[in-house]
Amino acid sequence: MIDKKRVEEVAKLACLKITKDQCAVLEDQFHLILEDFEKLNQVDTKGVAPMITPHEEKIDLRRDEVQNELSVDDVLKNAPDVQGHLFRVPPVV
Amino acid sequence: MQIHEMGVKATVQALKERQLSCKEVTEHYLKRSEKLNPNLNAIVCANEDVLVQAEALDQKKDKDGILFGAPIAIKDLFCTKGIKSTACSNILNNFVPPYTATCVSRLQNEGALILSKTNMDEFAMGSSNEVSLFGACKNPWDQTRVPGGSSGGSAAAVSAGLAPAALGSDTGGSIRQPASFCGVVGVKPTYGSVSRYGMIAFASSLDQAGPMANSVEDCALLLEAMIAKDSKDATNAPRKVGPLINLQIPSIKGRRLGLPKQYFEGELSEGVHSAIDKIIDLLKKEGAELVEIDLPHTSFAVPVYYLVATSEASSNLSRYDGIRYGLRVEKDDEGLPVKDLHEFYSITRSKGFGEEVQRRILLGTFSLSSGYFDQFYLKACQVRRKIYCDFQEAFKNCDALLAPVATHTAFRLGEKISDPMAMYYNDVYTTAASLSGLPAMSLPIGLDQQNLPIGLQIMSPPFQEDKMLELALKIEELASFKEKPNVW
Repeated sequence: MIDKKRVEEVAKLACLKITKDQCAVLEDQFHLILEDFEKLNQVDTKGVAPMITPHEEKIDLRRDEVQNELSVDDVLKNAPDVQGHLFRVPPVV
Repeated sequence: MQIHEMGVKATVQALKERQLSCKEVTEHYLKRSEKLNPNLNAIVCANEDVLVQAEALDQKKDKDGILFGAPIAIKDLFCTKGIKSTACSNILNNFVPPYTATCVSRLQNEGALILSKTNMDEFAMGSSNEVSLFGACKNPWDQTRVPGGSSGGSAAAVSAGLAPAALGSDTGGSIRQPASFCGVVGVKPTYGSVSRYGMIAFASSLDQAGPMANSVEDCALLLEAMIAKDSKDATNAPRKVGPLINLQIPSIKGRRLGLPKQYFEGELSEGVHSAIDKIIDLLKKEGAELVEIDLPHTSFAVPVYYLVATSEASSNLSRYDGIRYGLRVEKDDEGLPVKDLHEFYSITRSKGFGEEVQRRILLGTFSLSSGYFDQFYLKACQVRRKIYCDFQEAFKNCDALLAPVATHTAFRLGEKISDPMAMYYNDVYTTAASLSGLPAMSLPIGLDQQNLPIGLQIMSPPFQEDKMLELALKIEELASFKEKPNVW
């Protein structure tokens, strides 16, 4: 079900860079974990509606209105790099 | 009586009656932290302004609020404006939030002070508080042992008297298990009763904030302040829970209390089992009716939990990309600039997240990926429904369920860290209530032969925190657990 190639594909999807050694360890661990998790197949779930959240009532959405709760300057204080009021990123193309 | 022996309620009363000043109380806890925290590592960041804030409260004419002047430790998972909030992860090591989590604001609105931020497993992903940017937290009862996790720092801080109460978060047992390991009271409220706004997300259908303290009454006081409707969290329900202040110890004559048989089988240790048996005998003597309950899907809760939680985590943690906040790495291991955007994201994330967090992101990404979604994530959500239905059936026959929190008392540092499966199955008794959104709590009831605390778990129907806490008051009285760790 899971081999090194699949671990590498998943790492790429997840935007994580893993070494060959890490990949081998993860492959072994995922084997054990997924083998154990396959016990869910013992449960007959035919026709059972999946439960995505315990909050199954209608979600009470607020109006989508612009509110000035945070100042731009405060928010940008956490940015690794800024130029004016913009996030600055390294050249990536 | 020393200040840290008073608890929240008595401290607030003494502050309102001017028998103590807020500054005096805060200084007491800061001094204890200075002395004890270097060994325990329960606190990772102090609120540098707390003494000034305490003095400002002392100047106020109106001493309003049910938590007036109480200094509270906050798990580092909660955003606190102007105070570093890292989730104990390298990827957020320099993050200072521009806003405060709603549940923390609500404590402040009732007069509480933010005392400090507490240690935790990175992004709340762990059961031992060993996986943290700041290093492992130690159990005050035995510093060779873990405090439990992920809210290990909050539990250890309360247990050692570094704060009268703390905020924790519980996704699959992260309040209850450390509360049990450290001999304090910890409450996970019903999913939806406390706002998640400002709580750094792990698994959004499971995460809940809750209080930890040295008594049921103090937990009730904090929870009373925390439960309220917040439009900033769409899954937050209008308040359905009854008042939690001035709860009375109830008569339990004729009350039906359930013992889920699957929780007393398997690996449950003799020490934990016999401590719970003693409580059961005391409850019977008081006239309670103890009934055996069948929760047939219990053994599936751990796999369901780890599939659901990791899937949600893989999505929630995709926001950490090094662009707008948090760690950014622009060069590869050889010092060369990144080649493209994907490499930029990947290097930043791999340097920022620890091993366990990366493992869970990968597991979640796998179970959501094309070809495996139905087999793993969807199947887990269907079995989740079966677990939920088990509880619905159970509560037709009893008012509340009593069970262990963990199979054993606190384990040794390093004992399970290299075995993910052993660590995951540590959550065997706590994940089912989380998956079902139920209120559940841990209450200390005794010590085992190694002098380590044992917790009793109480689970209730949704939004019945008032009844759950009243029952806990009764059991607290019966158990009469007064022991404290040596550092006390």
